[in-house]
Amino acid sequence: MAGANMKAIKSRIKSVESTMSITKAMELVASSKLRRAKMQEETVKPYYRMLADTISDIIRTTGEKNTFIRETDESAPACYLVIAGDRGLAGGYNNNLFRLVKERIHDGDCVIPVGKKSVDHYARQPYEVLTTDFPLAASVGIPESHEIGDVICRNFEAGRIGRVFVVFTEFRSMLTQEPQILPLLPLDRDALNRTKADTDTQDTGTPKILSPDTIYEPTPEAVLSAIIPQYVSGMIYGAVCEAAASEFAARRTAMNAANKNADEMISALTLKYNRARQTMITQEITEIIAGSDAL
Amino acid sequence: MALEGFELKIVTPDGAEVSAEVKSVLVRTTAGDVGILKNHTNYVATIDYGLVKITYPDGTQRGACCMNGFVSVDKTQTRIIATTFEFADEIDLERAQRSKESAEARLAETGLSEDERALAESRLKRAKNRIRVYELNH
Repeated sequence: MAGANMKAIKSRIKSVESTMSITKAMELVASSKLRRAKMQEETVKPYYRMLADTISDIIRTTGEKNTFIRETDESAPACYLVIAGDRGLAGGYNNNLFRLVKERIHDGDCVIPVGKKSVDHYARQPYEVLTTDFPLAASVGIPESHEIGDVICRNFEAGRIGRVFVVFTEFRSMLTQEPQILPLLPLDRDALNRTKADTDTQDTGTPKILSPDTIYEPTPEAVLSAIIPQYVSGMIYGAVCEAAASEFAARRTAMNAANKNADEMISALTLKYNRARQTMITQEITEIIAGSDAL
Repeated sequence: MALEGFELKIVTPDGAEVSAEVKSVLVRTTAGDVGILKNHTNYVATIDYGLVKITYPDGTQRGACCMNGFVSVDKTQTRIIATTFEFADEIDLERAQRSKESAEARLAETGLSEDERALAESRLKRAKNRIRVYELNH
C-alpha cells in the first residue's frame, strides 16, 4: 500500500537527517580541533627536524659506540610504538596504521600502543604489549613523551628490544595523511650516512663532510647518554603532534564525505516520497471517479 | 675582521625561538660557561639548568634561561635544542616565585615517594633558574 510505503520513506529520511546532524557537528568540531593541532604541528616540526638533523650529524662524526649507537641487528626483537587515535569515525586513519604494522611485525616483537584505538587493537593481537599507560593520545604532551621515551630506553638498555620504530600518520596536507614507520633506535651510523648522503646530494650536489675532531664536554659518553633520551622523547612528541593533526584532518574528510552521502540519500528519498505521494493521489482520484461512474 | 657574525638557531618544542645572525653567544652548560664566537671548533655539550646570553651584531644583548637541552656547534651553524627557552624579558617572575614556593612546600612534606621528590626538586630548580636569569637581566 502506498500509504505505508510513504510512512517508511518519511521515517528513513528522518533517520538520515539525524545522522547527518551528528556528522555535521563532528565535522565542525574536527575542523576547529584541526586548526589547533595544525598550529601545534607547525611549531613542533622545526624542533624535531633539527633535533633529528643534529643528532644525525653528531652520530656520524663521533667515534663512540654504546648501547644506542651501533649497527642495526635485523634479527633483534623490534618494538613498535603505534600512535593511533582515541576515536573512530576518521576514515581509514586507524586501520591504515595497523595494516602497515602488520606487514612488518614478526613473532617475538612487541608493541607500545598510544591512543585508545591502538590499545584496544593490540589487546586482541598475539604481540606482547610493553605498557598500556598511554590510552589517550590527546593527553600525551611533553612530560608523557618523556615517560614513553623512558620506557623505550630502559627496555633497550636491558636488551629486551633491539630495534625501535615509531609508527604514526604523517600530516602531508589537509587532504593527504600518510602512515609512516620511522626507525628510532639504534642510531646506526652507516644508515644515517646513507640517508644523509641522499639528502645532501639533493640539496647541494655534493655530500657534506664533517670533521671528526669534535669536542665533547664533559665527556663524549656523558654527552651522548644525556642527549639520546632527549632525542627519543623529542621525536616521540613530534610524532604525536603529527598524528593528532592527521587524525583531525582524516576525521574532517570522512565526515565531509558522510555529509555529502547523507545529502544525496535525502534527495533520493525525497524524490521517492513525492512519487509515492503522487501515486497515492492519482489512485484516490481514480477510485473516486470510478465510484461516481458506478452511481 | 675581528668579529663577524655566525648563524645561531635555537629550537624548542614550543616553536622556533631564534634563527639569527649573532656576534657571540654565551652558554652555561653542565661543564661550565662557554663563549662561542665565529669559527668555533666543533663542539657538543649538554645544558641542564642553564642560561644563554646572545650578543647581536649591533651590540645589543639578550639573556635567556635555557633548560634540558644541548648545544651543538659545527662549521656552518650553532644549534641549541632545548625543552625550555625563555628570554629574560618573557619570564613570568610571579609564576616562577609561586612555583618555587609550592615546590618548597612540597619538599617539606614527609612521606614523599622518590618520584614525587624528584619531580618537586626539578620544579624547584627550574623555578630558581628562572628567577636567577630574571634577576641577572633586570
